[in-house]
Amino acid sequence: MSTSLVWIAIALYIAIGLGVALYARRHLAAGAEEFYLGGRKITGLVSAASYAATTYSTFMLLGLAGLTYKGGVGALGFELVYFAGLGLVLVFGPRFWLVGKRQGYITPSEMLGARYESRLLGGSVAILSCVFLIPYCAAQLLGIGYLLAGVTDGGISFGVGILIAALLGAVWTLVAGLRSVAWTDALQAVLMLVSALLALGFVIEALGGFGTFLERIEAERGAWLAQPGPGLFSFWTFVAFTLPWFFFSLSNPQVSQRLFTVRDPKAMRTMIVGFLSFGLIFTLISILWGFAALLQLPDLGNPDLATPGLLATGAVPVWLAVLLIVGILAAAITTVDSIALSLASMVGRDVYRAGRRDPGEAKELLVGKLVVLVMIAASALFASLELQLIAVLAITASTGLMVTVPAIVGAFFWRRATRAGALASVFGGTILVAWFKSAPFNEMVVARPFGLPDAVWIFAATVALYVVVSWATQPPADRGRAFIDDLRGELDRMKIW
Amino acid sequence: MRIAWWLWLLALLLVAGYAVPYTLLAGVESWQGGLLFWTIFGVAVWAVLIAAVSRWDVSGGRDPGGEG
Repeated sequence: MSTSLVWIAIALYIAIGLGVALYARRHLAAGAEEFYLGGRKITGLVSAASYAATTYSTFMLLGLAGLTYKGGVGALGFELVYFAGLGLVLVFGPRFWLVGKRQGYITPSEMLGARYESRLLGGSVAILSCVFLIPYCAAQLLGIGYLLAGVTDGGISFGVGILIAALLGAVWTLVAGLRSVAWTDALQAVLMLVSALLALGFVIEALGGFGTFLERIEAERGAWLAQPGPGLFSFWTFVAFTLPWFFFSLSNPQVSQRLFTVRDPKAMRTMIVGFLSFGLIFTLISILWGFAALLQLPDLGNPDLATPGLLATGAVPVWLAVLLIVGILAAAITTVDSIALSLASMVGRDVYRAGRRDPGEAKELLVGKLVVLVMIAASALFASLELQLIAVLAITASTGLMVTVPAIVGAFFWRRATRAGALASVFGGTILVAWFKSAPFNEMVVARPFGLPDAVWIFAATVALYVVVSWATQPPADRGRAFIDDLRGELDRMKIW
Repeated sequence: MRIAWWLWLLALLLVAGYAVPYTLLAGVESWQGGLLFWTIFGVAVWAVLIAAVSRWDVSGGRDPGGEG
């Protein structure tokens, strides 16, 4: 594909995106709540598109398609367990929203710190999120590096691709905070879905239509339709991949923070219906896209190159291929900017502000904006190392973030939960993650007790620490009233479980 | 607090989502195996969650009990 054509498409995309972001800036008022949460006034449709664009990232058309290419239909099961995990939003979404609005919380870590009366916990969760989300951000940038270099045959180098995605992510975030992020997200979600759906249609048509497509997979790559498939998805690998993925909507602050931003419960309902519908369609598209690559390009060395390879086959018309490339670029950027914004708010608020006596919102915001730049630069650097498959990087990040899950769940459901329990669970879990992921141990995969995967041990350990230490220590005087009993009346009125 | 009906259904679907492809459908090299099963699984999860959220009563709008 012509490099100049791709450059023109990227330039157009930047111009339109910048226009939307600058327009969003006109609506921006002062203050942290406004910058990070859009003043808690985001409407249902924008929330739905933005949540979908944030959560369904480059991972889908590059990583998940690559995972299908490598591991077969298990990739579909894997992504649909994540999809089922979105059910957690139905339970925790209204609770986050109510408690956030009543108590003025801006970040999930601030909320946890307040629930357990521990600034140490809030600050630690903020820093942990930074550490674990760098590989996830890097996975997005890596995807764009591969994609642009792949489709232009090196005309746009891997490094320049990473740089474009990183710069745009930073700009979209800094222009108007959540408003520019959410509005550009909404625009990009539509672009992602439409271009991917059309491109899949063309590819399947080129393969002889849908029926022939399925028959050909069966005839040529039958093993990819079975479990455990061609080798990647043994049962325990499937469990290891899916366990952190199931809790993604709670453990990843860039999505859980969105639960604070909606205007009202009606908007939250619209958001949920919207991202569920988007998610199911986009998941099926990505999986079928991976299978199409498997038939068209049977001998790829790196499965993450499935999409650029498929676009180069000529099955997709050039105009659509360019649209899809911009769609995938958009998918990466929408995720990177949301992560950067979320981490900025967490570090600015729960590390910088919490450690000082009233430093003022202006300074807190300035620190946050610096964090955006540092995080995106660190992710770009990490991506340029090309360490792992996109999917593996993304899962590693979520395994780390999983250590916050027991404390989040317990905050809303367990009166007996204590600060010591939450701290033990988060710190103990983190130590275990570091131990498992540290290089010498990581290579001795067989040395895991009972052969169970890391994620299972990490999850079991965090739950056990949370429960046992909470039982052994003095429960808080108010027994989590603001998070449990005080919400009940309103939840009952709205008929929410 | 009793567990909501849809949470039971979701849990049941999840158990099936792990168990069926690795037992009943293990080694089935056909699109009518794991591909069809998990697609139905996805649609069923979607339907359960949409049914659950559509029962919310959000007519009252903004939280009257809150300070914000």
